[in-house]
Amino acid sequence: MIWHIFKKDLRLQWKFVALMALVQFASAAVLIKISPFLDNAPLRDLFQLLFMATLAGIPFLIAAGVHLDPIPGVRQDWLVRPILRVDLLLAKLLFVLMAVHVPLFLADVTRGLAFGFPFAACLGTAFSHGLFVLLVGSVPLFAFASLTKNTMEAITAALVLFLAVAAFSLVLHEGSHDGGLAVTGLGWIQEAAHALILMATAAVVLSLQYFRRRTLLARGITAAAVVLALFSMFFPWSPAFAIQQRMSPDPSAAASVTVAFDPTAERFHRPADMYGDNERALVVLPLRFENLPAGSVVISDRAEVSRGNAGEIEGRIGSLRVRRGPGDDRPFSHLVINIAADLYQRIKDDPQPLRAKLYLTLFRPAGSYTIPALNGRIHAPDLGDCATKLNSAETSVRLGCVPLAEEPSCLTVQLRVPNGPSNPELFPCEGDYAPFFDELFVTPAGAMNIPFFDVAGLAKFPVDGTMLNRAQLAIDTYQPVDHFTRTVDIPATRLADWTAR
Amino acid sequence: MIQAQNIWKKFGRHEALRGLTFQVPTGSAYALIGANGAGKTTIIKILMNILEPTHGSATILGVDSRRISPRELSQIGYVSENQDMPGALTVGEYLDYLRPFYPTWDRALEADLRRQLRLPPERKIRDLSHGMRMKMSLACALPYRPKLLVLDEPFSGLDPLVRDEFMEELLNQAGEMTVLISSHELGEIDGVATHVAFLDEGRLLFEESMGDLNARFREVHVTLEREAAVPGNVPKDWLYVRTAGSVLSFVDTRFAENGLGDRVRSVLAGVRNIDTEPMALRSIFTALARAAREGGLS
Repeated sequence: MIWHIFKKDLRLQWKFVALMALVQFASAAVLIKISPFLDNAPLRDLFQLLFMATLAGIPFLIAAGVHLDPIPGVRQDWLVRPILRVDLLLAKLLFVLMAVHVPLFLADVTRGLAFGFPFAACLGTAFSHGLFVLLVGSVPLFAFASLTKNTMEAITAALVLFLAVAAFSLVLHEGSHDGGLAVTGLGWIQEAAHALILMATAAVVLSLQYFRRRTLLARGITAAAVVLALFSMFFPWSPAFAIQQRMSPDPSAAASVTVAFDPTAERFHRPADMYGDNERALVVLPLRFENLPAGSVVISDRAEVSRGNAGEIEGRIGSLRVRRGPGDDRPFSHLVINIAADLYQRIKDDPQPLRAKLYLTLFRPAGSYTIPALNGRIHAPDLGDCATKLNSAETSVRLGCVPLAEEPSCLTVQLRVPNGPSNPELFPCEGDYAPFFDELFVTPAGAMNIPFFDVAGLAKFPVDGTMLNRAQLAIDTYQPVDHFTRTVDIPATRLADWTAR
Repeated sequence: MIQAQNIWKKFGRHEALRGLTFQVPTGSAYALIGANGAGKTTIIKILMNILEPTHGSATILGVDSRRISPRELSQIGYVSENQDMPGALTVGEYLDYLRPFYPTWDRALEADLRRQLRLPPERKIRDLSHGMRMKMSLACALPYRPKLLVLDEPFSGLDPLVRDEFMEELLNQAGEMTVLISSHELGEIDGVATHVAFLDEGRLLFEESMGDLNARFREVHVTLEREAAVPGNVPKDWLYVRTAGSVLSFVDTRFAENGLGDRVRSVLAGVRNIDTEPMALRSIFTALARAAREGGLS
């Protein structure tokens, strides 16, 4: 009877289903049209509109399907009909799949094919995306809707939940300077914890509702799960990094890497426009890396700096990023410690030994590509479909890429003339170690600007506008292979000696 | 067919049912009567497993009410004024939807019912009047020839014409069916019910066959030789005792033709004449309800 119930639901909601499918297809079509440079402002706005419509519409569509045979209440006709509860549950799940996921799947496949990806890869990515959305989006929404009788009740409950979560988050975050795991490459662990809580709660709620009709208990469990999910935002760093280390693709790759304080290295000079407030002081420690594999990159996911017996220094610590380029066997980087001015004034002249604990990730080169600087186009397995063009101010080359799933989180881009000059490398490398496709929505990746002309006249680029016809962009992508820690001991020193001027 | 054993139901602090025990014999037409809020709908929803009892248990078609499965539900017809059918479907679409759930669905009977009840197949359920909706509910409950038909306040809000159509169709199809009907529309039940149970504030005050009930309830008018006054020692089985001039009237709940004169004379002096009248169910219910409210019934 699953199909029979589903047909009834579809007959009742076909207009809404068709509308949302149309919105999803239109959204995919506009995304295809504006990618990769996103410089068609009206279409970009239209995409935003369609995106918001999808975001708002899909929960309503799921709720509308569920509320055709609501669980709470004592007046529903289905309660007195010979309908197997499991059939009703599966019929609603089928409705969610057909009304939400079939259009999503088709839109994903169409988008992939439009950008020249192989059909099998498009199917695989669309399937994994759909599965992720189903498990952490649609099924939890389905469970949430099953706790309410109608759309109005669902909106009220969602609003109450939103306000409670917002208030709770504010209280929990008060005084916290640390963005936690979420702002690092390990953010997926927190997301996975949330996803597990969501999935487990959804499974329990759906069982309670469809097999026992225990709405009050199910609502209580939902509230408890929300609180648990909020506390999971404070997933402790050390176990998270330990999990990440265990998942390293090549756990010994960084075994020989050493890091040391190098007082002889170049001092950091604070740019005039850096950190505009006088409330904070920047202490910058030069660290030298050795035995890095050729062409590899190391970034720090987190650093903790303690001072003598005074414990950890309270302040924001910036991330390190270093690459062993050709002819640079001992690259160095600066560890930036951002300290509140009053604290800094108290400790700056007190010489104390420092100890920095660094949580690091080693990246290995994954792909190397070149693309003409002007109107070039390439198709790279990890970058996706990439194109170049001149920006409207004619000061930068724009590089736009549309990946099939997620773009590489670490790459270098350099504008150069073959066998000729080259500009300084751009090095966006943030780290994202998620082992699964963890995006609920496909949004356009932003294009990157590679400058060749400084309108302020402060910088002169070796490769300038006159060479663009011969120039190309060299793009190297990197993938994480090992996660490791290093401790750097710095002899007694005054912070004032390492303050950025 | 139905057995309820010491059923309690609480909503927060409110006790909607207080130890209800009764039996509905197979083939009977069992009427649950009581004022609004007496607990009629609550006990029906417990029997249908829409609500869970706080305490106690019930069996329906031999199965614990908390475990009734589609197998039992396919043999139970349910008609209620509190029944939300999918308003966006038409009459025809909803009957088409229900048909496959019932192996015994009789399409000819369905067509007959639609015709007899004059249900417009193209009309959306939400556009039906209350009366039409009740008829629709009946049309959805009878075509599979259920063994048990549960009617929860089926006449509520129906105009007399619709009520007659509804009753006519119900009686036509009743056959060997067991019927459980809750109502405070006693006029309609009077000719139909074989058994009656009286609920008041969640308690069952009595259950009895209609034959026994009709036999033991009488309206009694006693003409006295002088101005009548309510005696101080009114027997417990006299309800609704009042006077008008030299006539004292009451409802006798233990009427017996032979012993009435002696029973009356043992309480009242100067009895000149005794008249008795059989009572309609409505009058019995009214007398009982009034007595229950005044605390004269236990």
